[in-house]
Amino acid sequence: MKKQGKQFGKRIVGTFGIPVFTLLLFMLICNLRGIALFNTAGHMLTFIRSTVVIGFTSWALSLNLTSGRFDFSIGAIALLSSVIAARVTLIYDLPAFAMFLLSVIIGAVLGLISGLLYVLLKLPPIITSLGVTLIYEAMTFVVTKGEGVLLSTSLHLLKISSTRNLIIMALTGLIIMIFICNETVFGYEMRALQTGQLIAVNTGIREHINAVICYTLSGALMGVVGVVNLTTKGTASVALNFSSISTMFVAFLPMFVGGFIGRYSEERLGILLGAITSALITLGFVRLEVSNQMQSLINALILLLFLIFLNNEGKLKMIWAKSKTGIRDGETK
Amino acid sequence: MRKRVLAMLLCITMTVGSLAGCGQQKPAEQAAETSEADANESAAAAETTSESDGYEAAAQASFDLSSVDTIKLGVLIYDSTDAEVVAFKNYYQNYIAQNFPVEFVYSEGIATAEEEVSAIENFINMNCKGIISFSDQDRVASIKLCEEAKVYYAVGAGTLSDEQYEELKGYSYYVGSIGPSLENEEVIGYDMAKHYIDAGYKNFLVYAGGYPYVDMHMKRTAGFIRAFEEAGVTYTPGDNGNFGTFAGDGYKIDTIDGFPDEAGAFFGTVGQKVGEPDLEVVLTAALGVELFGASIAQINPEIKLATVASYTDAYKEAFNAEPAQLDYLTGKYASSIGPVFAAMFNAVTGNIDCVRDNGNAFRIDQGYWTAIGTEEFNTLFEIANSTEKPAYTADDLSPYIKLVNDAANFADFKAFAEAYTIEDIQALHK
Repeated sequence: MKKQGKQFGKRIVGTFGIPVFTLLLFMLICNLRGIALFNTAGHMLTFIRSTVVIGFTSWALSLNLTSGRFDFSIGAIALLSSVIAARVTLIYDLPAFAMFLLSVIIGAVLGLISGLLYVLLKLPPIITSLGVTLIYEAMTFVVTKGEGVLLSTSLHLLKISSTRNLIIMALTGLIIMIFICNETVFGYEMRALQTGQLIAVNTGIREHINAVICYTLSGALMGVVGVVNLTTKGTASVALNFSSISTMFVAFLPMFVGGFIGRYSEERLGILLGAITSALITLGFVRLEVSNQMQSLINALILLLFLIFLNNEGKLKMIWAKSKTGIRDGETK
Repeated sequence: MRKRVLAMLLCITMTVGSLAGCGQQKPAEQAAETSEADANESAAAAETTSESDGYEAAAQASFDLSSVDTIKLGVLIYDSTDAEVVAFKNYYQNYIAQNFPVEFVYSEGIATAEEEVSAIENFINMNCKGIISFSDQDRVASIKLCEEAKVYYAVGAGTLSDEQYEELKGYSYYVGSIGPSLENEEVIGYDMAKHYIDAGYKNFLVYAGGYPYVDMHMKRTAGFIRAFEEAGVTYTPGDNGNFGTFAGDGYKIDTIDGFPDEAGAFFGTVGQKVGEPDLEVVLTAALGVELFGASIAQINPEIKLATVASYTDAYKEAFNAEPAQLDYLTGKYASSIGPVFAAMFNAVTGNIDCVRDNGNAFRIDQGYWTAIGTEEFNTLFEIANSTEKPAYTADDLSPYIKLVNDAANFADFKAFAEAYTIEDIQALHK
């Protein structure tokens, strides 16, 4: 019983330790500066919005990256799906929910095309994703005639990114991702392919079908990111020459944090908690008025430090164990 | 095996494609093409204008330059997705190229000096006779490179500093510059801030854009600072040349600079600052609607937003929203780049002397149009984007082109280019 309790405690600490530590750290720093981390409804909105954008991007990236497929096109999918959805919504005067659904569906279709290209061309995924990125970016230019989309004059559409809607998106996304990855045949096969592709294929798992579904699901997730970004900014500029690739870089820290937390609970939950951690850092930057340059530097340092920790975890555990043994020996003597 | 074959085919296609795109034509082939072009010119023009984006109904030039061989001109652009660049390209591609024997070739977006040099080298290899530049990564190096390659170079929308101009004005292949001077950028910032200070507003948010890295934004912000200092506000510069803070005399002036990030910190900051109580005016050195429109619309639509931009559809939407999202705009109009084309055309047709300023490259100041309020914006928008009569039509430019008017001279050209205000343009078309 005691052991079970200890195990449970370990899992709770392992799961929630990083985001809770981050929250307390930034609350302390803000307190020392005489301000509160969460002071207005706007701060909560910033935090929730960052969580959704980073979380969904991390889920989308992890679907392919953990299977060895680097997908540069997720930023372009987010942009193109939201731009097309916005154009259709404005032309046909559709409600906000229709724009959201359209963006998700178009994102899924774009992801499907990306997956099919990978499977049919049999080229390395990094190559196909670069080509797809260029094509989708060019399409944003063509669809908007180079002028982008302006949504800030359509207030009813901007309300998609309200705090309440974003919380619903985050929770719904988490439930769907946990269900798909753990309770479906697709999820089972995906995890089998991640841990041993050759064996999994030899047992009859069809890697190509699984890959196409991963790309499709990834596209749908990025459709959500696109519509949130569009309704946050009120405008979407077109992208060319791989300028949309930077979207994916926010996902790396949450993915690694998610992998760490996944040992203690569930990886998709871990990714969301990693996104929450990143969102707390983002809010901290806003409240402390940290310059853009310092934000980039700090984010990079945090990622680097976490990677160093992950790569040296075993050594750190040995050092900790030795120090405990040393203390016990000292007490015995 | 299939992958290797596919990779080889792609390589061969790329090689053939690049070879097809480069290289010079033989004179016989050129002559044959020219006569074929002459024969088909009217049919081609009709077909092309029907495809052109917005200039279909524009009056065609009354002069005839069909005997002149088509001349290739390169255009350096800083961002192919920028609305202003799109408008410039539209004017050159779908109006100028339909009325003059020119073919425009555009660079990709240029973000570094190396990319700028590389783009110029590409234009030289493509046999461009002249280059019109909207990129300012390293103008000195660009002009020197063009001088070596005997390719004419003109600054399309901008200027050189005094030191740069003194160094380069004697270069035979440097045609000149037409655009807002850096002093002009400072003045438009000053005028923008002064308009609201004089109207009695006391609570401001100032967006400095890429301060201190983007010269234009820095100068516009310097104009804001000067206006506030004249009103009795104390400005304290930031560390390491960064944007500083304001204090004093009944004014509350908050500041923000930089550009959006992927995580959302920038827009979080925008939301926080726009949500400050009693905020009345947001002054922006650039990108007003793109960065502040949504927040203002959602948090406090009564806030006045002022920006430096251009007369595009997006800004028309913002001005005409209920309530209006924008109150003040200073910007360029699409055909403001007509005069610099006229100068370049003279240069590449062997008539650069008629646009030399006492034997040197010219430096002509051309400013912005300012619209305050929806009505004024709509009026200027119509003129700036007229598809029947752009601000500078081919006939407007023709008196300053030697091949059309033998009496073309620099004094007249300079007076023409400097008459850029809306009143001047309206007088031109009376």
